[in-house]
Amino acid sequence: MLEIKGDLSLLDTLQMLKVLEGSYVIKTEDAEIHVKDGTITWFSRGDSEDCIRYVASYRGKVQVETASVMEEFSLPIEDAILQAVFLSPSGQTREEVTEVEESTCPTPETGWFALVMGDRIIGSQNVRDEKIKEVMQLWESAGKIVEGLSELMCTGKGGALYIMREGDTVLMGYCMEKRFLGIIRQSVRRLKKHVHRGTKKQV
Amino acid sequence: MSIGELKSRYKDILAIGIFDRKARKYVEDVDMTEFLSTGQIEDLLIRMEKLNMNELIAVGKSITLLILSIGPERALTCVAPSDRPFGFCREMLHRIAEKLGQS
Repeated sequence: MLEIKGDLSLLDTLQMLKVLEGSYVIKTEDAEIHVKDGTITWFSRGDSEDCIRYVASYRGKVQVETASVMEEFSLPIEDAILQAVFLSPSGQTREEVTEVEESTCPTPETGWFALVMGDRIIGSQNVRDEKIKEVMQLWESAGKIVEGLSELMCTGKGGALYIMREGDTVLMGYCMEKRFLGIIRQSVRRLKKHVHRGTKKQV
Repeated sequence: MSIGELKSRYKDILAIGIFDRKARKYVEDVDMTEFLSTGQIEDLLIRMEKLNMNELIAVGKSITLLILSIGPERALTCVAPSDRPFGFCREMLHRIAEKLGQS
């Protein structure tokens, strides 16, 4: 049995299983998620879309066991996480969500993500609004110089920031280590295809 | 190696400049002011500092702007065409910074 200790969220647990080979059953207080080689294959309470919504909203105990799994669909954990971070957990206020998020320590490669439409912050994970506004000011300054600005990358001692625009929506992602720059760029670009679906749910 | 020599070596580059933050001007400038004014680079450097960043790559419709802050007083700026791959632009910026450091 794989034993995971600590106060971990479902997202944290999935982050760990993303890189592990083998079959695992994640048991929460009211559901089961089956994972095989970094891919979610079964959810006890519905299909892959239901699973993403559940991952976004669940706050509670998580237990992981190595076991044979059911295979009904194939949802890469990375995609599930990226979609889940922009879904607002139902029944929770933004303050409550922030409190929960801040109590979990992000892994080095995850950092934070945010989605901004016009001057509204539509969704964010592990980042304060003030920081998002600072990033948007940088984006706007660069946009005045570079015509048709579509991508912006910034790196520093602490990590790497990647920003991209899709219509009037700006997506940004930050990773805490520069070596993950490729990953963060890929991750933010992948979010592109989920933006409209995610946004409709939020507005 | 001078900025002019660098530009003739890296033919893809549209403009290069070294910006002196104290003097508030480009000390070496190969067409850089055409793309990025003193006020604009100062503004960007301040915003980058706020976010603890020292390197910026902004990709637009036709140009890619690269800024590398070298210490608190100098910054290397560069403009390349946007049809070049993202990684290539970054690599080029660092090579130039390295070459300037050696000169």
